[in-house]
Formats: sequence, structure tokens, C-alpha cells
Amino acid sequence: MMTSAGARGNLLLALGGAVVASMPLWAMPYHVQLASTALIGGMFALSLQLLVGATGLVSLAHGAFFGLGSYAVYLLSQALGGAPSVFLSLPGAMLLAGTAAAMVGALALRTQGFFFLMTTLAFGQMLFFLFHDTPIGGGMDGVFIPRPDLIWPVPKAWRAPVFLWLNLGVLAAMYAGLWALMRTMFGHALLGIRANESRMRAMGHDVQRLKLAAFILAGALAGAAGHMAALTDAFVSPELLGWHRSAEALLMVLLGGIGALHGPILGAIALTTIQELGHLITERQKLVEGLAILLAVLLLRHGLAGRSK
Amino acid sequence: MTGPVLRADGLTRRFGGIVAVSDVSLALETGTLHAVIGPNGAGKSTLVNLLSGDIPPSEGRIFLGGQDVTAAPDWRRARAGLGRTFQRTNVMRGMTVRENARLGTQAATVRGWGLLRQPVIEEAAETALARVGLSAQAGELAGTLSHGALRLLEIAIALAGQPKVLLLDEPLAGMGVEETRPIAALIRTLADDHAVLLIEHDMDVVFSTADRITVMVEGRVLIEGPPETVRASEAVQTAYLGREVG
Amino acid sequence: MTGFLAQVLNGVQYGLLLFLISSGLTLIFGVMGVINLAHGSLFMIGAYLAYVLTAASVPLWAALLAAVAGGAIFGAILERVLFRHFRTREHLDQVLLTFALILLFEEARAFLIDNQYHSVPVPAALDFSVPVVGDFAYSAYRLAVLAACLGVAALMVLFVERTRVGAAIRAAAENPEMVAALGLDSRRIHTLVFAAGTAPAMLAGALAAPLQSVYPGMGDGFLILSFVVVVIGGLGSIGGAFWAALLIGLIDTMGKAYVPGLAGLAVFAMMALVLLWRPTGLFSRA
Repeated sequence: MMTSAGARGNLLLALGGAVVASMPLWAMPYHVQLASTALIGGMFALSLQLLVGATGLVSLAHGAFFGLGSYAVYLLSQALGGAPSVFLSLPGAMLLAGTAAAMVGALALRTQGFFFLMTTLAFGQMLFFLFHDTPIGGGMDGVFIPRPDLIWPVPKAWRAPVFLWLNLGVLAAMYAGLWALMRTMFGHALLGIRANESRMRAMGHDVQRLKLAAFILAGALAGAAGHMAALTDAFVSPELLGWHRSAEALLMVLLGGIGALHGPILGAIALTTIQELGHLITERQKLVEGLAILLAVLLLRHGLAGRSK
Repeated sequence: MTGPVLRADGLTRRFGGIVAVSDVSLALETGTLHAVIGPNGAGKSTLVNLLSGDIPPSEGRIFLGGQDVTAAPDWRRARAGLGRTFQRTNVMRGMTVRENARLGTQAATVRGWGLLRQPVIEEAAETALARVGLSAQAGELAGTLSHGALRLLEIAIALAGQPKVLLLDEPLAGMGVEETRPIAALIRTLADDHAVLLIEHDMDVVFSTADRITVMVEGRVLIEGPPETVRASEAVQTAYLGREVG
Repeated sequence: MTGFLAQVLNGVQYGLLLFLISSGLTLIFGVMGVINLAHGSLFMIGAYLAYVLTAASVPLWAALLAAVAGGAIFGAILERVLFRHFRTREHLDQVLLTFALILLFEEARAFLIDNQYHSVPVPAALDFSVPVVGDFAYSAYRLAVLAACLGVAALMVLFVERTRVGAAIRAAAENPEMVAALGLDSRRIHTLVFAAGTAPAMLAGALAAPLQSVYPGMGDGFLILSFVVVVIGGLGSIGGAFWAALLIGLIDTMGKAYVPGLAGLAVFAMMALVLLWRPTGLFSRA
């Protein structure tokens, strides 16, 4: 059963958040940006935890919903002829990603296990090809986009810290929301499905509908993460939708531990650090990442957040 | 209550070329404990799975409270008042006993946006636990229970959904002699306010508790009637009882 | 008209290559319950093997044999060292293990060979066109690929359907205990299945090398499409994979020729339809 950090754990998370928030005071701008990347990874992996840790669904389409959230900013800016307000682009990104998740989920959830993996992979790649092979997303090389307008214009020198705080805020809101959600009867039903789907059905739970609801919500949250990536980087490319991103998010979940709600946040920080270290010591980043995954899969059975029970 | 709560008409189920259940009809009424017996491979478990909606029948119809549920999936039948237990213990081992029962009640009572509320202590779940005698262990993880307690939890989960019909698939499987007696008595009382279908191997229990008995052999109904009739039947003696009860 | 005929043949030939890849995928999952996302990388490795060998003036036919033999050995090693221990692990672990393999194969290729595009020449003996109907002629090498794929497909079906080991493989897919009852070692069967699933994927890469450029990401598209094939064909079914691969090969090739831009989507629309209609696959018996 998935645990959430208790009062002490949440206090530690808040402390960690405060340290991250203070980074602009003591860290180099490059590392502040890197922290933003890790926070966005945390949002993305956290949204996936709703499927993997809570419901027991391993989806390879999740990267596509992340990418759709990013591209929502591009599509809105094209439609409006300029930068959209963040109050429009964030809900827009979640709506677009959530709608896509509803369609993919309605089909993929008709299958189970290995089939579910394959269908989510295939539909995710379909969305990738849609942006890679057709001009609707500005082409296969990606495109620079105008950043959504915040309430006040952000001077260039303040961008890195402001985006860091913004990303921290969104991640905190997402975590708080999911923490509360897992305490509702809906959350308990998802945990029941993960524990024993056939029994849940025999009890009279509409398992398909519960799974679809989780899939849509997780997709919309991934879209929010993608939106924050677009806002932070001012650039979108089809790679954002690819299944390698889904695999990376799964890795963050595994690194952090599928037994704990806050695991993916730790996993995202760990993976970003590993990738950055890999970058520093060698040019062979895939080697470092591949070996890190291998070690994680072979040795780290319960993740950084520890055993769930 | 008028008429049977659960009625099956001419149920047949084939797996490839094998006929597991052949033209089985039965009717369950509230207040009646209806046992199904038969040698291994007689199709008893397949019958339960057909009634619960785990698998669709090849032929025949199933009515629950007068409604045709032949095409309804298992969870819809559960919501319509059909509770079942499993031959092999099938609970959420990582959750507490209370949470297991509570999810049973939740399935029957909470829908849609109502799910976004915090769970409350469900009276039906607590009553179910009390009825099988698990109240004291409500806070323990299901995975830590003894085998006997797990078999009781199976029944409690089904009861928590406040069903009209209970399908009990070998609830005494793997139980010792001294555990059997109180659970048999419990099953007898369950029939007071439910229509109960009991699959069981223990002939003493079946003949001392059941109101009606269906004997299945090779997928077909050999005979159906009150215990005395079944016991007296020569066909049953030769086909089944003679071998197993001696 | 001749253009259309050429597209049909191209589609069939593409579909048969897809079959070589997806048959291994479906066999390995059907018997062992293991998901191998690195299966597309095997295709890439086969193509680079063909490139390296032919560049060293080894004839292509020898390179093809090397791909089959190398694939079988490589598959057996992978099974012994890694996959054996992941049979009972969760899907999440299997996905990540094979994702790690993809990254490591990429690095190994970049380290041992390079990251460049290469071309492999069509063997001189087959570098001509065969008149098919009227004035329509078709590349002899492509016809040879077609024939080779059909030959391998026939061998695989014979192997699975007609031999004792094949019977054990089918038994293992349905009921692992039956393998023991047949007096066979299920661990050996698993090694064998992995070898038999890996070899055709590498062969497909080597066969395809002269038909397209050899480049790092060449296995990606094939991986996704072979997943679609397995979904449509039904899991663990060699026959289903065969027909589904032909169907997907034709749809994809025709789509690219006549409705470019939407071709990538046509295949997935097909899969969506199958999922709506028969979630267990078009050719499954269930």
C-alpha cells in the first residue's frame, strides 16, 4: 500500500522546499535553472505516480501528455498571435493533455498488463509522430515559443529565480492535491485496484471508470508539468512527447520508490543529479544513465523513500 | 419477497470442446441455504463464476431480483445485490481488515463525486465484521491474519456490500475440524436474511445445514431437492456419495 | 498501375520484415512473460553488423548468416545473464531494464562503430530488376528479401507447430507445469526461445540494411510498429503476428505513398479500431 509522508515527513519536505527556494541567494544561476528542471521532472513523475504507485498501471504514453502540455502553449500563442496569459495557458495545457488522456485511456484501458504497455506506447508514439511528421507543431526540429505572461513582466535577470519559485509552487500544490486525493475514498479505491483488481470488481467497484479517471487526471497533471517546462525553457520540440520521456519518468518513480507518494520528487532530484554528474565526467551520458538504471533495477527494490511497509 | 432472488435458466458453459456446465437451472430464495455438491471437476466453481459474472455463459439466462443480468459484468451484478467469496482467499493483504470491509461497503453505497470525500466509519462494514467475529482484529493488516480469519474476512467483505444473495465458494476450504463448526453455524445464520448458495465438500456440514441440495456430476444436475431426498437417492449413492462419504 | 504494384510488393516486403521482428517479441512474451523494449535495438545491431562486415568485404550472404548466428548467441546470453532474473519481476522493472539496454546498446554502437549514417550496397549478383508483369520490373534484391523472409516465417511456423521443442514452447506459453511433465527443462526452453526470438530481429536488420540507410535510430520505428503488430495479432500467436504484420506493412507503405502526412496515423487508427472491436487481438482465438 502506498504511504504518504507523515507529519514529520511533510515537515522535512517543506524544509527541503525552503532550501530549494533559497537557492537564488547562494547558488549559481546555472544550478538554479537545473533545480527548475528537477522540479519539473518531479511534477511529471508525481503525476505518473498516480498511475504506477496508486493504481498499478505502467503507462508509456505519459510523455505524450507532458509534451502536449508544452505544445498547448505553442498552439495557444499561434491562435492568439502572441503570448497567452498563464491563467489561460495552464488550464489549456491541462485540458488538452487531459482530453488526449481520456481518448488514449478509453482505448488502452480495454487491455491489461503487457497489452496495456504496448497500446500506451503505440498511442503515445502516435502523438509524437503527429508533431514530428506534420506541421501542426512547428516541425520536427522544435520551435521557440513566447513565454506565457505572468501577472507582472519578469526582467531577464530575475527569470531563473522567479521560474524556480513558480515551479516550486506548482510542485507543492500538486503534491498537496495528490496527498489529499489519496486520503479520499477515490484514493482508497485506486489503492484497492492496485492491491487486488479482481476483488474490487467482485465487490462492485466500477474498476474501468476509476482507472480512466486516474488516467485522465494523471494526464492532465503531466500536461501541467509540460506547460511549466515550456514556460521555463521557452522552447518546445517533438522529443518532449517521445516514449523515452515516459521511461525517464518511470525511472524517477522507481528511483524514488513506488511505495511512497513523495518518492517521485526524490527520484527526479536523483535522476537530474545523475544526469548532470554524467555530463560533467563523461560525454557518454547514455552510458551513465543506462548503468544507473541497471543498478537501480537490480539493487534498489524499494526506492529512495524506503520500504512502504 | 415474491419469487426467487437469483434464478438461473439452462446455464451452459463450454471451454473449447469441453462442456464444464451443462443446462443447469436453479433458484435461490431469501431464507434458504442452497448447497451445491459434486466431485471435483463437476463444474461447481464454474457455476459460481457464471452466476457472479466472472465468465459469460455459452447458453442460458440469469435473473437477479427479476432482472435479466446475463450480459451484465460482475461489478454490476455486485451492485445489484450479489455478493461472493472466492475459493482461494482473495483479499487486499496490504490493507487493514476494516479497510477491506469498508471498500466492500463503499462499492455498494458511494458513487461519482461522492468518492472525493474522506472515508467515514461505515456501519455496514462494522456490522459485517462483527457478524463474522473479526471486530477485534479490525485494525490489523489482512496479511497478518490466520488462514481461518482470512476465510472469515472473505465472508465479511461480501457482507459489507449488503447483498441480497451470497455465493460462498468453499468457505471452509483448508479449515481444521474445530474451526469448521462455528463457521458452519455462521453460514446457517447468514441464510436467515440472505439467499445463500454454498459450494462445499464437507458432507456433514452440507447435510446438517442446507435446506436444499443440488448434486452436480460432469457439469449436469444429477438431482435437486431437500437433504433427505438427496441422501435417499440411489443415483447419488452410486454416482457420488458412495465414493466419498462411504 | 505499375507504381501501385510496386507499392504492394514494397508493403508485403516491409510487412515481412516486421514479422521477423514481432514474431520474436510475441514468442518471448508468450512463453516467458517478459517485455523486451530493446527488441528494436536488435534490429539496429543487425543492420550495423551487416554494414561492418560488408565494409570489410565480407559478402552479404555471410553477413546474414553471421546475424542469425550472432543473434542466437546474443539472445541466449541476454537470457542467461539478465532476463532469467526478471521473469517474475513487475512490468515496471522489465520496462526499465530493457530501456537501460537500449541506452547501453546505443553507447556500445557509438563506441565500437560511430553515430553516422551508412549505406550498404546491394550485392552485385542481385543488383538488377526482374520483369514481373508487362513492363513492370522489380528489384531482384527486394524479391530475394521477400523470399528469405517467407522462408524464415515458414521455418518459424514449422518449428513452433511441428517440432517437439515447439510443442514444449506452446505448452510453456499456456501452462509452465506441462513443460516439466513433458520431461523438458523449462530453463533451457527459455534460453532457446530468447535465442530464437533474437536471431530473426537481427536478421531483419541485416536484410534491411541495403534497402535503407543504416543509422542509430533505425530500430525505433520498427519497435513501435511491431508492438502494434503484436496487439493486432494477439499475444503469443505466431500466425496472428504474420497476418497482422502483412496488414500493417501494407497500410503503412500505401499510406506513405498515397496519403503522406497521415500515414503514421493510419496504422494507429487501425489499432484503435481493433482495440474497440476485439481487445485481445484480431487473430486471437479467445
